[in-house]
Amino acid sequence: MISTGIDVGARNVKAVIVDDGKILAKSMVATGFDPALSASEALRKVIEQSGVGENGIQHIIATGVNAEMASHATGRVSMVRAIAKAGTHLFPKARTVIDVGAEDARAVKCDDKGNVADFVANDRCAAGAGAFIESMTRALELNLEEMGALSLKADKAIPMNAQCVIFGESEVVTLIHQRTPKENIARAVYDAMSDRISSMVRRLGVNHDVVLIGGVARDIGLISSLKKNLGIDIFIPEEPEFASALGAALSPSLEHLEDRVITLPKVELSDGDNRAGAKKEYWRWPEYRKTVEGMDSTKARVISAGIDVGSVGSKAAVMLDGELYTWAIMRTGSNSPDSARKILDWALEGTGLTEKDIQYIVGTGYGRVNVPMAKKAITEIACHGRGASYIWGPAARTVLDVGGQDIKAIRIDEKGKITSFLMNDKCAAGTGRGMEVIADLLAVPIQEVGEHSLKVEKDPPPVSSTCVVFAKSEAVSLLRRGWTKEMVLASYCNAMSQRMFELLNKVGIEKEFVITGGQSKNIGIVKRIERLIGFNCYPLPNSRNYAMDPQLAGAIGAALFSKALYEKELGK
Amino acid sequence: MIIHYGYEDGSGKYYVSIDAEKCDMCKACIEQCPQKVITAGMVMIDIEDKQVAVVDESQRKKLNYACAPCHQQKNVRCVCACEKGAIAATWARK
Repeated sequence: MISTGIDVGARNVKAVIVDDGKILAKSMVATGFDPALSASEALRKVIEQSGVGENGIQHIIATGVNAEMASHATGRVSMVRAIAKAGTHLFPKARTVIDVGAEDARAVKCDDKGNVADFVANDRCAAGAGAFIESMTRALELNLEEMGALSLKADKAIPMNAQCVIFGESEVVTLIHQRTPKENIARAVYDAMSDRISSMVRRLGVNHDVVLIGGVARDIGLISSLKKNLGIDIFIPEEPEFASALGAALSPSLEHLEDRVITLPKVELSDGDNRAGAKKEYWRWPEYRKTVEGMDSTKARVISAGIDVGSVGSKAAVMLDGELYTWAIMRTGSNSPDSARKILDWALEGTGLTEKDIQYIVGTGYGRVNVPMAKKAITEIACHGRGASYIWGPAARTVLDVGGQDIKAIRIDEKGKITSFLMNDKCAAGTGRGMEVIADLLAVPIQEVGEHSLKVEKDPPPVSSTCVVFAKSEAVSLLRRGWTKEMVLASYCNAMSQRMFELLNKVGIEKEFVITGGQSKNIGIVKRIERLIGFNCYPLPNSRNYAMDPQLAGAIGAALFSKALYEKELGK
Repeated sequence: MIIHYGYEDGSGKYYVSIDAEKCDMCKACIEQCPQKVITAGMVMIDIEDKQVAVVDESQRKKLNYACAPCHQQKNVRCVCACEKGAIAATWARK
């Protein structure tokens, strides 16, 4: 009997046509923004390939996280049942089936007929899912195959602390900064992931006939690590990504949908479609440099510099006798000694100055220990406090710095000295990186996010999920429910501001409140925080003949410390 | 300078706050902490580095668990041990 299975996943739609237990034809289409359209497209492709013709297809069973979007399906089956069916069909001895999807993972214990005895699912946190590996490959600047092969060459097991996808990425970047060999980092990534998967599997009790399905089952690095972790061999089917669709095709539909005529629309994918390979990078914010006019570096007594290598952006500021002279802001690369040099060179470009002319350099930020030309590394908290005091003058008291991957709430005195602070770097919710992810998803340029978020008449409730990966899924489902992009952005900005407000409350908010970091440029965040605290941000002083950039606070603070340290050295 | 170590997440608020200027490094809190959460570390005050009590870096993201025993027994030893009143702790599960 010919039957069709369609698995509408978070990332891809997979469809198979099965004849007598054998795969006759298969197709895979990216899920994109419109899973219903992608599902039709996958079905059309698979039917075309099979040569059976639309009339030969009667039984279409859908599964996957978006199964309800497969409008041509005649029935649906849960993921858990589909994978149990597939696992035991492919390996009759199998009694445990693990399926690792893009954003979630599950494990099933089953009997010889493929009936489910017990199961566990990890759908609260994206840590043990495909998205984790995917984002780590980006951080390592490798593709999936390269990373798998590389991990097998590791000579040392190093622990990874991060559980969250977003922090995993920054931990990998830190390891790169520490010059850990990529082999060992790759292995650490797989070990962290297999740790999550095996702890899930262990809740079911491990037996010796385990099958792994889902796209990640092609990853030799993960397989090797998972085998070691579970201490057993694992069966891998030839086409693991199609296993769930196969399972669906083999399932008697438990949920019969009314009979419908199967006519499939011809879908033309336009270039502008989100599924197309090359995609515009909406998260990309402009990099720039600037030199203040009318200043003469040859007359300066002390030339000091601060280099702030953040997790997302690198900033350099050069000061003449404690006055800002030239600066540059660019995105941090995966190699921070390189980022530090590049950003300083760029800041100095066209000024006639070189690194040798600078008497003292302080490194700060996330990658501060890897600023080779710095004489000293100082925490970003101290630098942001000092920098904010320079930018806004001695009146500034409370500083909120929203960085790429952390939020800092800082209280300062009139000299810019810190009186109290806290840094939240456990959860990526509410950080600049989270905003970039949402901007990219909604195809809204990052600089316009704030403006769009304010176009709603009334603020919708904040997104419920604090995890960036899940907030992303939540945003997708809101869009599907007919929310406008503006509403989704408003909801997300709302959740972010709420989070920042909670942190500010811990240090106590004093008037003369200022925001530094990249998100200070996001009007949607600024307006909402002002609403929450009940007063406006302290305005930038207009005494300067140039536009001051609050994203530069850390680098300015570092340059001021440089001057102070240089003068202290001279005094000795 | 009060440093709030810890975090706030879906499960609650967990902080150990240490005033680095009040701390004179008598080490009473370090000796009293049953979980080795508190240790000696360098903190920069103005442009001088000072050795003070800090929350161990490996513990900062799991105070929810690390500080649970003291808070459940309502006997927060680091806070009680500090004669200068330099330590405060918040531990509130939602």
